[in-house]
Amino acid sequence: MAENKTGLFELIYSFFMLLFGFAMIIAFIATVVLLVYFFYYMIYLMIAIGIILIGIFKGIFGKSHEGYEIELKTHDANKLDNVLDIIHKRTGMRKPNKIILVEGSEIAVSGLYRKKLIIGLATLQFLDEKELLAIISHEYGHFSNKDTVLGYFSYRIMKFIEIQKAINRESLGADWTIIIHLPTWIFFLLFSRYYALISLWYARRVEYRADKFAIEIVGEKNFADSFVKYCAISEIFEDTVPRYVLHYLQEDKAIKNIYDFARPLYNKENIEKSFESCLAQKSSWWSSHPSISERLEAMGVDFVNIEISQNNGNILKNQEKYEKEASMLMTEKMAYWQQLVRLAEQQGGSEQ
Amino acid sequence: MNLSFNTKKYYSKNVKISKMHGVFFMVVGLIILISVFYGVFQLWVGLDSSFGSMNCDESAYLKTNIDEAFSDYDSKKGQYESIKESYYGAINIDSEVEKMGEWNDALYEMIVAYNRIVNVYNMNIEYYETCYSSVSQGIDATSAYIDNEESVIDIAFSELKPKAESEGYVYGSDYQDPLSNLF
Repeated sequence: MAENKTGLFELIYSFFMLLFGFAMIIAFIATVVLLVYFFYYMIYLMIAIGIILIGIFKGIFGKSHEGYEIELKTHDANKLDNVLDIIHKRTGMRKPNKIILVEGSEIAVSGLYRKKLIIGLATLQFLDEKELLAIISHEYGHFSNKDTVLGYFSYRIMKFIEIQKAINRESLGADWTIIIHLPTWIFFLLFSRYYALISLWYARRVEYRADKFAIEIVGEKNFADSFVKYCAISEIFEDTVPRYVLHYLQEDKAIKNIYDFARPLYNKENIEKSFESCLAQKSSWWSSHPSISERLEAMGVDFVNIEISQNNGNILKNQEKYEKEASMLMTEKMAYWQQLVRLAEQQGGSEQ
Repeated sequence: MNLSFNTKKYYSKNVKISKMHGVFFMVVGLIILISVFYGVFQLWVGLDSSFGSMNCDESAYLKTNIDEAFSDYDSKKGQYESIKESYYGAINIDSEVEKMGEWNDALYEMIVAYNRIVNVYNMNIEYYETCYSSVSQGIDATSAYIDNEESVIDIAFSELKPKAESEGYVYGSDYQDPLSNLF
C-alpha cells in the first residue's frame, strides 16, 4: 500500500519545491542583471538580453488567461448545494467562492485566495448526489491540505519557465546572439524537466491524501465505486464526443446538445471497455495523478460496483441551458483548433 | 444497469510512490541549487575582477592613444573652421565654388579623424568607461558637432548650386556630395 501519511514530510517537500523553483528563477535573473551591469554598452548583446527581460516581465506580471467560463448561478445549484452542505457539516469547510462549469468531464479545484470548484457537465449527467459527494469530497481534500495554494505557485513557476523556453527557442538563429539564447534555452529546458519531475511526483502523492479525506466522509467502498464510475464515464466522453463534434464540424454541422447526443454511448459494452482502459493505465514519472489501480490498491478495495442510470434526473436547475451553452463552447473550441491545424498544414504545404 | 468489476487483478504491476523518491529529489535539487548559485557567484567575481578592478595606471598608454586621436581631430577641426570662414568671405562665384570644394574636403578630413577616435574607443571600451569616462562624453559632443556641420554645408551647397549652375558650372554625377562622407 502506498504511504498515505500527511504532515511534516509533505510540508518540507512543498517548501523545497517552492524554494527550488523560485531560487532557480532568482539565480537566472541575477545572471541577467550581472550581464546588463557589465556589458550594457554592447548593443547587440543588450538586444538579445532585452528579449529575455520582456520574458521575465511577462513571467512575473503576466496574468493567466482563464478564457470563457460558465459560472454556475447559485439559484440553479440546489442539489449541488446539498452536497456541499453535507461536506460543510462533516468537515466545517466553507463552500467554494465560485463554481465553474466546463464542457468536458473533469472535476477539479483551484484558487489561491478564492476557492474555485470546476465541474464537467459530462459527469453531472450520470453521477447522482451520493457519487458527487464522494468525488467533490476528494476535491475538498485538496482545499483542506492547501494543495491549490502550492498548485498556484507551481503554475507560476512553470509559466515563467515555459515563457523563457519559448522566447529563447524562437530567437535561436544563425547570428551571434545564439551565445545568449542557446544556453538560456538549455538551462530552462533542463530546469523545466526537473521541476516537472519533482512537482508531478508530489502531485501524485497528494492525490492519496485527498482520497483519504474523501474516504473519511463517504467510506472506502462508496468512494471507490464513485471514483471508478467517474473514470469510466469520463473516458467514454473524452474519447468519443470530441471526435463526433469534429466529424460534424467537417460537414459544417454542429451538435446542439452534446450531452444528449452522447447519452446512448454509455451502454454496458462501452462501460466495460472503459473500465478495462481505466484500470489498465499505469502512471509514469510524468503523470500528474497516480493510476486508478494504484489508488484502488491503496484503498484496499478488491471489487467495485457501478450503477448507470439513464434517468438520473438533473442535478442542476436549467441544466439543459447550461448543457447547450457548454455544447456551443466545445464546438467553438474544436472549430478553432481545426482552423489552427488547417493553417499549420497550409503553411507546411507552402514551405515544401 | 448494475455492473461489478474485480479490480485486484490490475494491482500487480503498480510501482509504489516511495518517500525515498522525495528525499532523493530534494537532495539532487539542493545540489543543483547550490551549484547554480555557486556558478552565479563565480560569474560575478569573474566579471568584477575583469571590469571592476581594472588597473588604470598599467593601461595608461590607452589614454595617450585616445588623446592623440582627439588632438588630431582638434587640429582638423581648426582647419575646417578656417576654411568654412573663408567660404563665407568669398567675394565671387568662382571663389565660392572653389572654397566649397575645400570646405567639403575639410569636413571629410574631420570625419576621418572622428572615426579614428571611435575606433580607438571601441577597441578598449572597458578601460575608457572605467578610467577615462570623459571620453564617451567627448565622442558624443564631437558627433553632435559633425551632425550639425553636415547640415550647415548641405544648406550652403543647396544655396550655391543654382547660382553656380547659372554661371556655367556643372555638377555631374561624379560630384562628391558633402553628405556622402557619412558612414
